[in-house]
Amino acid sequence: MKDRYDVIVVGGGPGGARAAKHAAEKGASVLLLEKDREIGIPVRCAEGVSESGLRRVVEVKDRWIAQVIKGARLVSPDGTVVESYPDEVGFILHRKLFDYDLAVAASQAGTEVVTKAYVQGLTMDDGVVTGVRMTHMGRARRISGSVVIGADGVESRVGRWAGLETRTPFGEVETCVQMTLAGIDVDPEVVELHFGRQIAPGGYLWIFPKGRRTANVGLGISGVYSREKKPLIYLKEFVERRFPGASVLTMIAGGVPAVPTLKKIVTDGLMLVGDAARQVDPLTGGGIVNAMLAGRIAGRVAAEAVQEGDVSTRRLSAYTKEWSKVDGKNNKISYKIKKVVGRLSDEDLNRAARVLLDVPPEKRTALRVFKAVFLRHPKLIVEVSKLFV
Amino acid sequence: MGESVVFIDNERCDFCGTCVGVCPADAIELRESSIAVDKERCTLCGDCVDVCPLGIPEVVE
Repeated sequence: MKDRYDVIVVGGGPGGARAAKHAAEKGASVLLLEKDREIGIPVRCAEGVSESGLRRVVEVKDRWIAQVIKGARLVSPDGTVVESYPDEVGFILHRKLFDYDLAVAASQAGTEVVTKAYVQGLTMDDGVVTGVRMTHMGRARRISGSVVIGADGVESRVGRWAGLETRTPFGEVETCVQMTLAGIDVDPEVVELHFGRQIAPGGYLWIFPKGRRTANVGLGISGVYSREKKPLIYLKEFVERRFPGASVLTMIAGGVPAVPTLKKIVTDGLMLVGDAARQVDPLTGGGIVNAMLAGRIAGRVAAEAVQEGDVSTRRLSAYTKEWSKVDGKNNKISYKIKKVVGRLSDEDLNRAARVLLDVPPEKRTALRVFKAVFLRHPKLIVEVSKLFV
Repeated sequence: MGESVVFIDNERCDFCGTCVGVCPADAIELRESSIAVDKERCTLCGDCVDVCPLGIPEVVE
């Protein structure tokens, strides 16, 4: 590790690794810091991604694909099953391998990757971020960086240290737990999504197969409900019912900041990427593709800004602008839909499921779901109309 | 009467960081496999207790 770099990236997930790669490819000297001992471990993700989304951000390697998904089975609170086979294929990834390869790609572009590197603060000069304070192998260090990119996840503190408002209110967090189960029997090409107050209030439960005998089974519930009953309890109840006797290969907890992207994702000498910038899709909780898209933009802008010798908020705002062009609108609409969906009762969901059964499987799109619910639910029409103004 | 503090049991915590993102006081230090609450900063608001997926943080005396 040197004492100074053009760009320091905090966090070795997909967003951070892409930011590092693209900054390095533009000629910047780049340091990528990961607090854990190994890139990609532990996995904190359900590992599902759409094929088209993934191909937008990276050339896909076969070894990342644990399972190709061709359809979805949506289960309403009363157990009505609606199958959907859209044109689009999905993947369940091996995130361990995926994240590892993205870090390797960053490294091949010239990034220096350091693990077990714990960043505990920023260095600042007259309000401008000038580097990080960190501990590595028991040694406290200060490393200078012209631009610091915070890709430090849901638990991000980098933005706060620079004075940005990044806190997510607990009611807007999807609080999640997931077990990787083995010794079960699932349809490997179909994901299941279960909805309902008793299953996952303010969220959903997923079964993402990895082959015929294993699956990621998890759920997220709204932080509003997790005071009374914890996600872990909901999941244990479901697993005991549905997969009695299954082996639990691993269990992970995690949180998804299901909010619109932060208004300020840059300040002097600093940019935020991925979950740290709250760039996740607030409705689905999917964040991989968005983080990688944002990382690519942030990395390029950071490298250009350093070359020009101007790392001011105004210069780095090119990233904010580009990001809002790429996904800003989807993110806002998705958030509004999340708010409306959060108000649906179990009865609304059951009704939607029954209406959808009359629609041919290949036409069961999100839009149909909305029509099914809202055309029979006048009080929600007002809410929905707000989505499109 | 002792002073109340938020206690996070490192033996049971998964170190996922969900509480760190909601803490209004930036009082939670998360490392690879340790987590600690800075009691000087903590305001005992309980947001970490509410949001934790596993139910680990607790307010104790």
